[in-house]
Amino acid sequence: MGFVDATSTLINPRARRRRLLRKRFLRRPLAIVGLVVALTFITCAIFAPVIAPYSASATDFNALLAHSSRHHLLGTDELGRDVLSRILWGARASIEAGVFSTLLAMAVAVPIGIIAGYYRGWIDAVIARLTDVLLAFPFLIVAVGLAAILGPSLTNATIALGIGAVPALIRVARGEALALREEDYVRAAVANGASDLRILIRHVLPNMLSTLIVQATVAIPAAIIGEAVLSFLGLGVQPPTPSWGVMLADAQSYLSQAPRLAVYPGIAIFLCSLSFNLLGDGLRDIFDPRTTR
Amino acid sequence: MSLLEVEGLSVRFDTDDGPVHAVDQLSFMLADGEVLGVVGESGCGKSVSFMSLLRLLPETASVSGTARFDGIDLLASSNARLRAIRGRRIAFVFQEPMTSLNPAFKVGNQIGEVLRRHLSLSRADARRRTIELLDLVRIPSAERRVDEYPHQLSGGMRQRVMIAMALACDPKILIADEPTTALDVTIQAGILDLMRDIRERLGTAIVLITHNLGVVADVADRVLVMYAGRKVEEAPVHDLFARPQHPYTVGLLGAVPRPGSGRLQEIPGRVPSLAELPKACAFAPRCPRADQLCHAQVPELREIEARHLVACFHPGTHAEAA
Amino acid sequence: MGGFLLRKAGAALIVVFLSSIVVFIGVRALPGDPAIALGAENRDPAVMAAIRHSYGLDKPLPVQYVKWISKALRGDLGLDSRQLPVGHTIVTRLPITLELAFLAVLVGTAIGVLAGVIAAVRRGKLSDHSATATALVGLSVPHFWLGLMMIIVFAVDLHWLPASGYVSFRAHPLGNLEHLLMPALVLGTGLSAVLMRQTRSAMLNSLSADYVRTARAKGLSERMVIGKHALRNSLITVTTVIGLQLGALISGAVITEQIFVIPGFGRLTLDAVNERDYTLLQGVVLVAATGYVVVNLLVDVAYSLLNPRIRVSGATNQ
Repeated sequence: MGFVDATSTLINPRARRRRLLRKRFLRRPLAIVGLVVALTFITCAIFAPVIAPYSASATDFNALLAHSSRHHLLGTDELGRDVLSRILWGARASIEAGVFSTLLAMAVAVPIGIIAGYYRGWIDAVIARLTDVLLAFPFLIVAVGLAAILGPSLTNATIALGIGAVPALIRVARGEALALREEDYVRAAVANGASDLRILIRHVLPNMLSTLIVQATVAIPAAIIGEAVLSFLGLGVQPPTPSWGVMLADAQSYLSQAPRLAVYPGIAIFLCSLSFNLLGDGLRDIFDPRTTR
Repeated sequence: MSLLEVEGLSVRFDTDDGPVHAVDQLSFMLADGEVLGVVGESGCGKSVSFMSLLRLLPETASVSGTARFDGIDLLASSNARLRAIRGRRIAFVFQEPMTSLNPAFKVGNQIGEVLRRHLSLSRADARRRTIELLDLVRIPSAERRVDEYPHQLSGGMRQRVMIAMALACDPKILIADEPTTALDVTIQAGILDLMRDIRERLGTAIVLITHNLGVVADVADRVLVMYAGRKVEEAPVHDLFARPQHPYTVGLLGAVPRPGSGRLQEIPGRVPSLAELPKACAFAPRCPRADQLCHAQVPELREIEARHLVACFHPGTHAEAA
Repeated sequence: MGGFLLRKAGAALIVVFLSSIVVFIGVRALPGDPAIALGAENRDPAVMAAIRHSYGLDKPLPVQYVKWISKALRGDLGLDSRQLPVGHTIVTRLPITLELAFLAVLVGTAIGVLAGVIAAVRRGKLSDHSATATALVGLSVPHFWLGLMMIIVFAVDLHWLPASGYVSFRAHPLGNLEHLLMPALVLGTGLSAVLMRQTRSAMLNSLSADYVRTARAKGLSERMVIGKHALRNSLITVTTVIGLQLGALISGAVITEQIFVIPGFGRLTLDAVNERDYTLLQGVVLVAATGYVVVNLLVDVAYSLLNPRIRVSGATNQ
């Protein structure tokens, strides 16, 4: 008869689940690629001042619209600015807008959604109707509208994108809360006299986490593209601050002379968005209880 | 002359966790107009065996053996030929009437499909025949029901629709896979009555797959008992119930609730995993009569009395150890 | 079905009504004094006051709203900053965008559903993997960039298609399609990517459903099994997805029209925002919201036609 250590990770359910999720994740090369690439972009964004060979606005009038060379790996734009550096610096604007707007949206939408879904009653009816109305306006249209109201700047664009993402997230959070309140452990906690706040924080929220994480991986690329759209339309980051959207807008005028000016920032947006999508797909898969691998 | 002769049927599934031997060397015969009951626990391979005859299993299944039906070997036939047989000469009724009917199409449409496909009936003729079939399976107000959707019918009625659909082209064999399991006990009796009726009026041979011995006692002529993918006993129904030989059959009968019989006898233990084929009697770990021989060799089927086969080294009607 | 539709229509009306209020307030929140946009470049306070008065801008907000909405219900959306009737402008530009959207949905649905069905039927094989990969790319690509790339390749390099502009169908049918081909492809890409994934997923569910097993057991040909039984149940999902993607389609149309310089409804919206043209913007957004709600209603109708459980009430348990 052996002695079983009750604290060993073999018995601890949380640790076991985390190990299972990690094992499943490691079996999915595409998701790993997504994670790595996404992290690369984030690192570039954070460390742009250190990695970029030139500053974003350093002009070189001797090399306008130059092709790639030793000095300028991706060439230069119409003002002689190094394209590679601008892409690295542009990552800052895009990632910042993407990540922070999503965090903002979550911070606003999740509490509202949880309250609506958990408490139901009149407050749910009001919130649900309002959300439906807001959802009648497409995300980008709302973002464009808000950005127009707030004025062009990266911060305002981030806020606009965040608020635009709120209605859809409220719907998700509300749906989750609605389902979770019927779970046995929630009912048991209620029967045991736990306070509402405690139930929401200890039982409801942690079980929503996987859905919310997956939603984030969908929302972030949408926001990154949204920022690009806003900047493209002149409603986001203002030149000379670089952002991938601004670079694309500038490139429009030089489409026949230097098409590559449109290619590089677009590829950057594409790869960044793709990496989050791959990551999100993988995460959705491993969190799904029906998955067998 | 038998209608269906199955010899050495084996089915293996290739899963992510390795091969699973669902059926191992199953052989049996089905005569014209006979009702064969196939009994065993869930997972013993009874459904899989019959689905393999019509190639209704997923692609991960490998099937070997022969199955002679009307002069051809089903297991070696082309897909086209099997499609001509399915629904026309051998028909299936599945376990779950709730999900086995397509929710998007009317009931009449689904039955009519079979008629138009196999008998090339016109729409009008198909509709007439469909109403006839619904009457045959005793669904009231058939003319109305023809135009209804599955979700408008109760579980029992849906199962009758399934049976009507199976009988549409007057098949030689009707294979009913757990037809009453998903239904209430009171509805079950109605379906079983229907089965008896079908056999009498139409002379269709029926294979009744079930884990419920009570069902079998009611309707079957002969019974085949399966365990872990193998046939362990086969006998005419009265003989099986009067003199069960295999300890598993004895155990099953002991587990049937009967008023005044005292405590229900459970069969201890669990069905073995079908991942490896044991080179011994599959039931040995749970058997009260098992000895060294049982753990070392696979028992062959032997005829104990007229038409009564059993695969056991210690056959007998007693419940405890030999 | 009547009750279901009535409820949906009622809800739709409420949404339109609330949207009109949101629009009204939102437009008022735009920075910039409308009086200046409406003609008082010289910023003379007296002139500005006169303009404000003539446009009723000095009355309290609820009054302005009621005046506006009552006229709108009669079809009069007012005059924009150039003294052109808003209604007329919308009516001339809207069909262009509708044609673009229709082509985009056509292209997107055809490609998306077809690819999804093939991927599901050939699950795990090469065609499945390539289709799924392409769909993922289609989802991640920023569409306005795709538009730019297509312009570079097909217009600038190959000279196959015009880079921008629009020709009406009645005037020149072939030219019309030439001008709208790239925009429709760009706009339809996002839809086809989402549709491909959803169709594949729905088909995989259908294909493993019991009723498909029954259809096979009945001896039906594979074509019937997949094309009739499996696909029909997936169409419900397809319709729902199209409905959900309409919003993205509208925003996509705005940007697409900007890139390809198509004088459509989308560009009109953008111009109105940039020029701070209150009346035009109000009219435009109201029409857009109403149109969106109407189309969603149509999607609901289609959904109920495809799903008999909604159309006909449930079982009388016997």
